Amino acid sequence: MAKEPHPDRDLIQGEWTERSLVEKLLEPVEKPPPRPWRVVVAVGAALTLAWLYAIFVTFVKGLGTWGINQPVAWGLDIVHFVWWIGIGHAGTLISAILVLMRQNWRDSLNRVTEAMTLFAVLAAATYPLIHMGRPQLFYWVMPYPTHMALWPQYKSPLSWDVLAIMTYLTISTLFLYIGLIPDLALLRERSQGWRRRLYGWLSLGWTGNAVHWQRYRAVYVLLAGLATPVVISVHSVVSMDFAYGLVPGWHLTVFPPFFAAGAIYSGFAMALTLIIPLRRWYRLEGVITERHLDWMAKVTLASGLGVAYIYLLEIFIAWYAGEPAEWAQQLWRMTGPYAPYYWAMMLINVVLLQTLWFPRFRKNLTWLFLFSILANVGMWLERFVIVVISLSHDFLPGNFQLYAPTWVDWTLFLGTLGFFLFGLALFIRLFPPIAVAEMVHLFHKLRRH
Amino acid sequence: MKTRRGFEEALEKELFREEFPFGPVSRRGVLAMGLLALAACTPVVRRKGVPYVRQPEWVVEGGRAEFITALPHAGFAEPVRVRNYQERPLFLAPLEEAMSPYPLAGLYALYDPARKGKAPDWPGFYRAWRQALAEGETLLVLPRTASPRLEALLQRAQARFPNLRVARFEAWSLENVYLGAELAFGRRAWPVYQPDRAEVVLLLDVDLHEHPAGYAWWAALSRRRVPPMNRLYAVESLPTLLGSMADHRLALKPSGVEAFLLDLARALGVLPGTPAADYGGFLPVLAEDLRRGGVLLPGPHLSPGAQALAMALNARLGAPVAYTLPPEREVATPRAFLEAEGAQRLVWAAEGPLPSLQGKRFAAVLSLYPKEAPYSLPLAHPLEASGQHRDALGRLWQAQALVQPLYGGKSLEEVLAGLLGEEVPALSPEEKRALAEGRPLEEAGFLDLTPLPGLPQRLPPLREAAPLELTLRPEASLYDGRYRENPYLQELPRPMTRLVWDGALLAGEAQAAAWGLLEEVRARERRADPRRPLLRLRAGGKEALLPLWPLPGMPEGSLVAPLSHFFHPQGVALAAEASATGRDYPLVSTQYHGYLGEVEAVRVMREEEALEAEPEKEKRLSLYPLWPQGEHAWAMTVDLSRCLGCGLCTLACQVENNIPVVGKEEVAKGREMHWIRIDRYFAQEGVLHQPVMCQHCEKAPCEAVCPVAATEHSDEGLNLMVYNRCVGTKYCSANCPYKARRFNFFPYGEAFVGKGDPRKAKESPLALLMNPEVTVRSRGVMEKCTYCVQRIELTRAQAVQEGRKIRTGEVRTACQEVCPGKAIHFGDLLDPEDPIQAHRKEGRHYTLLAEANTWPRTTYLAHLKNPNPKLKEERHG
Amino acid sequence: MLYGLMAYFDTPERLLQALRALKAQGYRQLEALTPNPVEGVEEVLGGDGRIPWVAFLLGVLGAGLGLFLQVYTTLDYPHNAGGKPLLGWPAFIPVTFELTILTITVGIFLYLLYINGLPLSRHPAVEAREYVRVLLDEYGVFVYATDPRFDLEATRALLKDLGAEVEEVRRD
Repeated sequence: MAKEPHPDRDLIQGEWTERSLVEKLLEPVEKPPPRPWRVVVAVGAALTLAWLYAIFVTFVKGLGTWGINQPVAWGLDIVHFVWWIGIGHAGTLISAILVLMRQNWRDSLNRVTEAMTLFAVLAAATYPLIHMGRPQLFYWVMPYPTHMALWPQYKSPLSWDVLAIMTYLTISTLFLYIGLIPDLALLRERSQGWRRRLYGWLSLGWTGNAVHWQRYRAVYVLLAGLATPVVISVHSVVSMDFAYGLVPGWHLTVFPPFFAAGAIYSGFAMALTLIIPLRRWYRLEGVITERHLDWMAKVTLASGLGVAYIYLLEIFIAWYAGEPAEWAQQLWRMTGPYAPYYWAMMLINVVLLQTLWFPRFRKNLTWLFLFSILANVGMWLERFVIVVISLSHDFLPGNFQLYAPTWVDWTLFLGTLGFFLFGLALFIRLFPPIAVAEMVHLFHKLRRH
Repeated sequence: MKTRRGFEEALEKELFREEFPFGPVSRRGVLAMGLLALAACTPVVRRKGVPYVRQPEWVVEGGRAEFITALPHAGFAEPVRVRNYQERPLFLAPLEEAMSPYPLAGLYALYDPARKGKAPDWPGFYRAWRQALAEGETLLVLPRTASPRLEALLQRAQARFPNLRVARFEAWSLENVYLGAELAFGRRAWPVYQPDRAEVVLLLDVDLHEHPAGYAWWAALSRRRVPPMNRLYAVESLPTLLGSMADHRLALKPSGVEAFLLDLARALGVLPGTPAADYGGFLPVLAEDLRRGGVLLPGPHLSPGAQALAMALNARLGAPVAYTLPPEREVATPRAFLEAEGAQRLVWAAEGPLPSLQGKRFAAVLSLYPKEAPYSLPLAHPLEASGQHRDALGRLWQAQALVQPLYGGKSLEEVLAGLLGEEVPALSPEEKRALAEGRPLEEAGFLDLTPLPGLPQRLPPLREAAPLELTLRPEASLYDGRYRENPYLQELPRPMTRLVWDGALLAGEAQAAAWGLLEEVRARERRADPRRPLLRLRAGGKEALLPLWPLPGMPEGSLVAPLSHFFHPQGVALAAEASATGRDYPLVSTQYHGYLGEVEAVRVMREEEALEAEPEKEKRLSLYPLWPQGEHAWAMTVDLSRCLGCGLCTLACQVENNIPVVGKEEVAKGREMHWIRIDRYFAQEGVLHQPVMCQHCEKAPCEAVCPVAATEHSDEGLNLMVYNRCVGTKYCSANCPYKARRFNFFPYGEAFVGKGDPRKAKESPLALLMNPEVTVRSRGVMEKCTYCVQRIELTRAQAVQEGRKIRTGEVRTACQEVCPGKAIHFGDLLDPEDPIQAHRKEGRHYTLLAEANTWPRTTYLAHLKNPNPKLKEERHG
Repeated sequence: MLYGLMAYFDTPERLLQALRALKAQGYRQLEALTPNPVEGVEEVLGGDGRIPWVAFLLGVLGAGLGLFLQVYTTLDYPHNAGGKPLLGWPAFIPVTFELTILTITVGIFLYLLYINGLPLSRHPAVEAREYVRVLLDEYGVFVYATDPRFDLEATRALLKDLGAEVEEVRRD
């Protein structure tokens, strides 16, 4: 058959057979890990322990150990909550939206980014729990019958948050898990001992039955279809925590798309931060090609431009609305004591972002890696600007007050970072970081046709 | 028997676990401390701490009761109503119009376990004292006293012990006032002003807390701060609260104030000659205006000559002033301190700084709190002892003991009686009647004084000008330092600086710039860095290190140091030098941002404007139907024209609602718990004050965002806070445009009761200070102004019991009760009789942040100014 | 004991061809085992149109649950929060939406397991020595010995004819 070569043929580079490809993709799980993996696990574990200690201190002594005050009642806790939730978005986006769009390049990225989503959302979900004044009563935000007939108050965006995050966590876990099942079956057949038992249990007895595959595929696409609105809705709901409020700098109808764009931007940046070294350490250049990274850089650029646009829009609206408090807030951001944060954010997310227009920069992996880290710093700054700077300067000048985070605040952040890396490192040791079945399928599609 | 008690205790525990969050111990405390809390004047003695299972009708054992007494502050009586609950005094309200914050905050000292020293050995002390008296001259230093009974005892004691010499010490002396009267009228006298009867008032460098009658003055003046208005002029060397309410203010350095007075005397013909300056047109206009019926209110620290001039001017103007004999038989001065230092045998019973006791043959200190001294004996808290005190208006009040001394203290009268081997007599029937009727024991006796001619010749030199003139003035909270141990007062923001826990050297911004410190201070303020430069202050041969606080509105060359931090036996007016030390000291203020900018939070109107203005129609936008309204619609108005920002409301709210003091470090982080925050702004029109508390919005942004419905609305319009249900997401606080909510970041309540250690809360007698009607909030919950919901409910219960409706004005919130200016009014919007209806129809009525569309129930009445049309500029000098 | 025959094909086209042939011969008890989904299988082995409908029903259930939860809890303990009406429906949208999705997600996953007969602790095909090949790169057909048309030799010959490598799967 003299068919035209598939246009996405170069998404898998190098001479492969199905079998050698599978061997390559299972290497991270089956071969001894490279040295950087051990470093990441050690650092991650250490930071996770520090995190647990900081949580312990918070629970024993109280929220006073944080830097929050009146009026800045939400500080780094909520900054990091939003930051982590945003990072999670890339995974769901790649796995769900790109499936629907039939983008072949997603297949080598979806597993690791889905795992990233899972750990990012887990890290994020800890913040609302520990930032409560009485965290032991966290279950009061759930609907359950009590003798007092008290229920959650469903007009509060926080109640929406609870369900949005639960849904998000469930759907991203299920999505990751369903994608894993065929790989787990393969691993089950290839491993011994406790791993075989583990994979055996987790694979649920998957045999590869062609009829099962059809149903599996239908459900997978269905879930992708469902995950797409969820991923948009979650950050929209998170944005409503702010947009529902009256605080100048929060009270904007543009927040849902703003947050969704920002989430995709930060998520892709974080995915780049993870994938560039991963690809180097595990020698995955053949399956995660420069074209993949280029695509990711383009998505980063596109979502980043959305974010940058809304930054400028915010300034315009603050002026155009003619509300003194809004305009004062904008000036406070630009010239107040926190101005360095604001301008650093503008520098990264508006100015430096423009480099991604140029293929020269997109192909330069050092810059791309550096920028991906910068972009997440920029997104951190954005959340700091929104949460802390807005609260520090609202309506009445009499209660303006600055905010200074404490070591507990920072340890909690480093701790979630450690937990995130630790979790991801363990994940790729146990489960293939690239979806084997899907890659083989893709390989089949690209090479055999 | 033992098991039975155990059972009772268990029952008690069971019954009161919910009601008393600080545990049943508080009630056992009542028993165990023996008490202690058995009111001296109440026949009911509680035998057990166990309540009735079924309460017999009309028998309220140890329940709520109200007593009238008079508490002395700096020697002057403050007549008050004391609210008791189970024999524990829990709240004070002024009997008449106004009181100072000190007696109210003094409730803390009543229960403060820090008062407990070694068990007092009174007989041993008397023996030693008598022996000292036998050996040689023994000095007894008393504070200012205005008690005839004490004076009689003193006379008897001096007759019996010829070696007993008595000196009176007071750092903030009234001597200059008496000397001024001597110059003007030929005899020492005490002026009693009736400022409400004056059309024009000139405030001469005086503040609310500096004059014994200051709060009463404001009560009187504030009645005329609404149309038809009086006109206030202030000439002062420090921005004062009274001055911030003035229609025209002239800032002059202290010698300038006295020179101004001299010029005014010339302008009004009291002194010959013509004024040396016209102060930018201020002086002639003022002189003319004063003739309409003016009064001068001079500060007690002005020199005798200035006092005499003011009195002569008042006489010339026919001002509403009457004179009584000085309330003190012998004047208390700061000089007595030197006498005490030199004495061989000393009994120190005065307040303020403690003289050195080194090398004395006999030294004893009588004080509320134990001191390092060979003999340190506890004085009784004013609520623990009866007595008699004159008030600043010259009337004599009877005081009664409401609690038996908790820590074995005695009043000064009891001490002297003990020295004589006598007993203080029980209350006479007349005294009891006066107490029951809430009237003074004796009305003021006025003197008939006429100015003596020849004042110009007799006039002593006024205050000398110096490059830097230092005035030592009492601190708004700590006074002369005597309230140093009181955390309520320590953390009550000083009205002008909003500083807490510290005193600072106040200087003008120009002065700070001259030292080269202003820029750095402002830069640090911007960064919320609390460090302020420490200055070495030298005056009258004494030195002190004081942190600098530049205050807008201070005239150049004027420095003010708090008497609590810098005391000088020569007096309070000194020439000073100051130099930077290069070191810093953290000063914590509750408000760093003092300018309104474009925010229209405080409205200022002229009297005419206010009269013409139409009542502002609040734009109420809502797509939704209104919720059904209950039987009442509670609401509050705050009249900014009658509020001068003294902070009494903050304090009363704190005492009433068990609000903890959190300490300097926590305030530095911005975590003060006061439910009423008084915002102070420096504006074109002067200094503006605005109490901000929960506004009880009908469309409350906080309620909508609580995920667990811990804050919601009652049908009577209260924004309720359900502490039990709060999980502490702090979303409500973030979403409150007024930032009226306070969060318990730490177990503040327990720590406050336990004096810093939350684990000690259960044993601490301070638990007795907690109002049982109000929950003590635990760690991690939000709190805020409740409109004193406990008072509403108590009144409702009372009304139901009596089968009637709640009467108009029957519910009074704590802040409303103590406000000297009657600026706060709490009422029912559904009651057509309620004055709140009229307030809401005034032209100057407005809602704070109306653009937020929150429909607040607490609303404001604009600050009114009544400037003289002949004076164009708002600021002079 | 003989479980059946496992045939390995190296392309999906061969597999489909074999399946058609087996079906034509009247084999019923057989399973196709593939490393990834093969297009065209549903034409031979029959498709499954139930999944979208089940998802839709789950969605209706979820939306109803979400609305019920909020309406019921609001009416069970009515209180005035911020002056908004008791049943302010715009505020109920997010939770209804999230619960709809949550219900479908969890429900459809359980349904997938249910219709696929998972979890499964043992499967005869897995006993094949070379079974792992169908998870890697080959396409297998497992014909059960219990099929009425099953005859060890004839079936083996048929599969070989179709181009497969054949393995007998027995219990050891």
